[in-house]
Order: sequence, then structure tokens, then C-alpha cells
Amino acid sequence: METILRSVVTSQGVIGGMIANDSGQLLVRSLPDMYDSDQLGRVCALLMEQQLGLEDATGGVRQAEVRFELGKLIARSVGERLLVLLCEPGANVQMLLIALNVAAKKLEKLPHVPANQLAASGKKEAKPAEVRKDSGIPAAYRNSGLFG
Amino acid sequence: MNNSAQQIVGFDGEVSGMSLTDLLQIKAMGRFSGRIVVEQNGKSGHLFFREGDLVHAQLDVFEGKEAFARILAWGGGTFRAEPKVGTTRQTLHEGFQFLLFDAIRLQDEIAAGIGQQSQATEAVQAQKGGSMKDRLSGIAGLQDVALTDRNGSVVQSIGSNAEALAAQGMYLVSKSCQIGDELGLGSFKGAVVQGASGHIVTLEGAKNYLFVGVQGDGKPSAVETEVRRALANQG
Repeated sequence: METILRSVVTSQGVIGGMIANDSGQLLVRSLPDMYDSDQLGRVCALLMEQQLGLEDATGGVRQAEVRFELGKLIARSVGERLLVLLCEPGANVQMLLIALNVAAKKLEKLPHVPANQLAASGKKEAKPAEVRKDSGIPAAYRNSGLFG
Repeated sequence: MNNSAQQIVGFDGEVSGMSLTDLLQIKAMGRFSGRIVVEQNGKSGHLFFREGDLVHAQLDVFEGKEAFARILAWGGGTFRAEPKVGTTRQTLHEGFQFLLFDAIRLQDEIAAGIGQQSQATEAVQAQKGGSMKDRLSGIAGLQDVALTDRNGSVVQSIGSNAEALAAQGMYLVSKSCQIGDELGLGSFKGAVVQGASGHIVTLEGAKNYLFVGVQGDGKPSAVETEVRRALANQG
């Protein structure tokens, strides 16, 4: 998994990346040390929540590109896993998608390891974020029924 | 070589059929310094560039963003570049692309009646060919559109599902902001979410969000490009 991640984070414009499982637990990371694993775990959990919240509207999120002032985040769903790339603001996403597609294909072929087995193997993982279930939903929409 | 030959730098001439937005983008990319004078029906708008940054816009009594939005809204006219004319005034401080998007947003607000309801505004709306609805409705693959304020209240919409799209879009924005905060990535600027049966394109303006719902068989990146073009093109 580390090798797959390395193959894509070396692309031009990519700052780093990580792979999480379907519970939002961080599996591998290749990001600057300034981000600790707890922090990245929270990000993964938020991304999973975001995808879950938009499931009805999109029929299941396959890929999300979120742009910020200082960078952009690309999150690709690959089976039970989430491949996340942190890129420079000006990164060419279309170019990057080629490397991402290759990495996603390789990742699909890897066997799925349930979270409890990962814990038993002693791998250190970031805890998913403790976030209120409706924390991302604007107050006006909380009782609208649109988000389950 | 004689003196007159030495003094000729660059080309002078005329172009027609070119949009003002295209011209300004070329000037910004070329790090132009000087003034662009835009004229229409006896009115003159002045746009001052410094090293590719738009630093000041002036049209009659309007200055800064409002002047820029009003000049961009002109459907036609003439323009000329004056590289040697500068200004010490600075009424615009953001990057050119941001100003361009913001100007389009401001035009929409004016057209929707949120801004000033002056005679000039009515002229702007007539010249640019109608509101956001008119400009976006024909884009292939586009399903619903919701223009909201920062709180998620829908200002303008297209399609029967626009209200739900606005809610989902605001959820996307909210989660994205949390992620951006966590990673220190600064403010949210937009998102493209691709799904199995539908996609969501989110664009951010100074005071608004534009959420575009795209059909499952549509390409969200292509729709985003078309939306930006439709909002930018005035001709």
C-alpha cells in the first residue's frame, strides 16, 4: 500500500497523500511531519462523513476535489478504501488523474483488511474524529430530512 | 537602424469579435501595466493594471468592484490599451481571477435586484442577455442550479431540485471548511464531487455559493468550464 501511495505522491504538484479505510481510519500516510496522525485521522473521518452525507444526492461519491486558498484535496473512493491526495493550489488535476487512476487500480487489487485485524496486528492508527452527527449540516437544514 | 524603427515595440491594430473578458485575461497573463479604456455609447470605463494585477477600475461615479462589474457587463464596444498610463489609486486588491468571478457574482446580484436598482442596472441586464437562468439553462448535462448567500438561502435557482441541491451543497461546504481548518489550507474555494448517478459542482463568490447539479452521464469538469464561460462571456 505504501508503494502505491508513493507512486502517486511523487507526481508534480502533489504535496502528499494518505489512504484510509471505510471507517475513516488512517492506513498509510505520506505527508509532511507537521500533520500528525490524529489530525489526518480526523480529516479522513470528515471526508468519509462528507461522502456519506452526499450519498443520496450523488448515488455514492466516487471522487471529490475540494479547492482551498492554499491547496486542494482529491479524495478517490477505491472499494473499501479512500485514497486522498493533498496538492498545491495550482496542481493540474487532469494530469494527476492519470497517476491516480493507475494507483486506484493497483489499490483495488489489494485484499481488504478489516479494521479489527489492523488493530490486532499492532498497526498504529489515527482515531476517527469525534464529530457531532449533524455538525456539518447548516442549522436551517438539520430537520429537513435531507440528511437522514 | 533609424530612430523610428527602434521605437516600434509590439503591434498596434484592431481586433473584432473578441470578448472583453478574453482581452483582460490575456493582459493579466502578460503582466500588463497600464490602462485599458473601454468605450460604449459615449461612456468610458477605465481599468488600470499593474504587473498583471487589476488595481483600479473607474466608470462614471463608480469605482473598484462595482465599476469593474458594470464595465464587464457591456455587451459590446471598443477598447484600447495604453501601456504608459498609470495611476496611484488602488481600489482593487484581490487577484485578477478572483475579481473576475466576483464581478460576475456582483452582476448577478444587480440583475436579481439585490444591488442598486438604477437605470444603469437595467441597461446592464438587457445588454448581457438576461439573468443567471438565461445564461446557464442551455448547458448540456446541467440539472439544477442554486445560487445561495453564505448562509445557504437560495437567491436564484434553476430546476425543481435546487432547494435540496443548496442544502447538500452547504453540507459539502461546511465539511470542506472543517477539513480546510484541520489542514491549515485557508478558505474554501470550490469543489467538484463526482458520484455514480450525479455530480455536484460548487463555485465560491465573495458573498455567494453557486451549486450546480450535473446529470450522472455528464462530465462535471466540462459543465464547470461551461458555467464559468457562460458567466464570464458578455457578448
